Amino acid sequence: MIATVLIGVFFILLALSVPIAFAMGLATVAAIAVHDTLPMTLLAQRALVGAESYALLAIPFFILAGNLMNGGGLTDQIVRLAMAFVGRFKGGLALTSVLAAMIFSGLSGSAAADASALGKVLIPTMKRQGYGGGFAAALMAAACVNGPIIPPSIPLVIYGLSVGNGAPIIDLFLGGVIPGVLLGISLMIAAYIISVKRDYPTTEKVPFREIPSYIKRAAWGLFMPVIILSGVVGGIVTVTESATIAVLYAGFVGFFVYKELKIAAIWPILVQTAIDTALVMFIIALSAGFGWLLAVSGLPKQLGLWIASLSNDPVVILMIINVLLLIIGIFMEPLPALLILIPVLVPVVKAVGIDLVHFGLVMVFNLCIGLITPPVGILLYICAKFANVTLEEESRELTPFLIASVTVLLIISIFPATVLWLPSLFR
Amino acid sequence: MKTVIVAICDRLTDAAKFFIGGCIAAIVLITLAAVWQRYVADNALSWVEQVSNMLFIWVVFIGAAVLYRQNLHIGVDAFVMSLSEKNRAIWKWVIEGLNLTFIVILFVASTKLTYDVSGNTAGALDISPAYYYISAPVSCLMMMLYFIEKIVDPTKRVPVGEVGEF
Repeated sequence: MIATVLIGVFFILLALSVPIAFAMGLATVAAIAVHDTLPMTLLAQRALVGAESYALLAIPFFILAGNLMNGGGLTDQIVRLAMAFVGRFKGGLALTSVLAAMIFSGLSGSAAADASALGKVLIPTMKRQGYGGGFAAALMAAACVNGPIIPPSIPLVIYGLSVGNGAPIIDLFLGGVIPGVLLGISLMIAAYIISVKRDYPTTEKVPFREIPSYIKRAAWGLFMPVIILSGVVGGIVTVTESATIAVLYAGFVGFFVYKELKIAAIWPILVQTAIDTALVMFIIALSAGFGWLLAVSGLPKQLGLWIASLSNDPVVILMIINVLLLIIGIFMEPLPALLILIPVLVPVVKAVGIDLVHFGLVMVFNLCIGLITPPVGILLYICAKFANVTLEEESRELTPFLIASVTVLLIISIFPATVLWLPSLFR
Repeated sequence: MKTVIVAICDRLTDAAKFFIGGCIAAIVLITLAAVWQRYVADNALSWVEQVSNMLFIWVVFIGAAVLYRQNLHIGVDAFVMSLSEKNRAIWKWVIEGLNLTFIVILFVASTKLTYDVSGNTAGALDISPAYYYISAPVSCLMMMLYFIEKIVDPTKRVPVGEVGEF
């Protein structure tokens, strides 16, 4: 009964366009109301406790570091570096977009931030060079799916904190590297094939001897993920502390190296970081009561038994879950979907022996594909705006990139080593 | 009347933004100080976690009120966008009504919780959790005021600014 009310009310309100946080809160209120003994203060208590975690501070720090890097003049250096590497090939600017998004993913942890920073520069340039607007927008959107896959990643932090001991955040971060690289390569292959067919141009051919100078100019940015990962891998600092060091580093680079960050820009960046943080954290806070009631209802256990009755083969179970998540990802943003589904699915996969780090990457990767599927794919909207095309024009060009993304999802689902090999090297 | 309410809301939002921006700056500085003290000065600061958590909870709830005023809380708007302009305006009020219902319930529940824990103390500073729990009723009061502002001023019913989504 509790589960029916909780999920029923939530999805009805969501479908009726009630904001996600409020829909979760109202569903929790309804479920508490139908329960005989639970007090309404549970709503507030769970929400406040849900936001009270030192580890969650990594979220505003990663957002702030990304915002500082964005304002610090790094975007141009990264685009130039990517162009020096792949601009020489057919469809050079398309390949540059994918490579730049991969590098940028190592700085920000947010797909939307990547799409805003890079899309603004690269999409209009692609259009000027004769690429179709729909193609440019669809490719940029698909490339930015890598934002939450390559570390740092806010969804992976949230997954790691929700799951606890079975999925250390550092293992999740390291586990995201190979899937992110695979996604980048597969998108580049798709973009290259299309570019050859449509005779899209190459860009400047940077002589190989000059590439080190491009690397040198972008090195300060490239070093950021190394800073974030090395301290935690070495057991020197926690993820939260490494995120603070990343903030310090981003500020240093913006102020003293590229010198594009001004004192006057710091205050708006801090306020924007606070607002961005509140957006994510208010949903997380209100999902705490929702998740708790879901666990009390026994639904995860029942669902687990049902899925286990279908098969006990981990790959089959992962495929069933993948189909479910791809459908959910069409209608929901990754973050609320994660928060609702982690308490439901993690016990199921745990029971059949699937590694929780592997599952975390599969789950985040899968739900992030939802960022490029209509009607709620936020990346589609951001990139369509920069390309000045309709969502329909953009969606028509999306198919090859969706196929490439789903192919990588299948690869990482079937072969756990693609995720688990890198973390295993540092244990 | 309208001018007064809008002016109060403007001032309140400016103060809220100043406060949450300052909290983020303070959290960063405190955490950096903690890293320094722990690894360089070899003298861990015991209060850092509690103070950071307290500031963080204030950021979350006061930030949520700012987001409410700027109509930036995310949702799936496919349904509302499918409606005609006239029906869309009506439906947005239905959503506002549902939002307000939740805000009022959260206000009552969080006020009671804050009162209930006001005599308890916890953590390295041995202070009452009420100091951070009270951020929830304060946030709800701000949202109630912003709701009134939306009634009196139609220009406050559209999104203002942008937020990153993750």
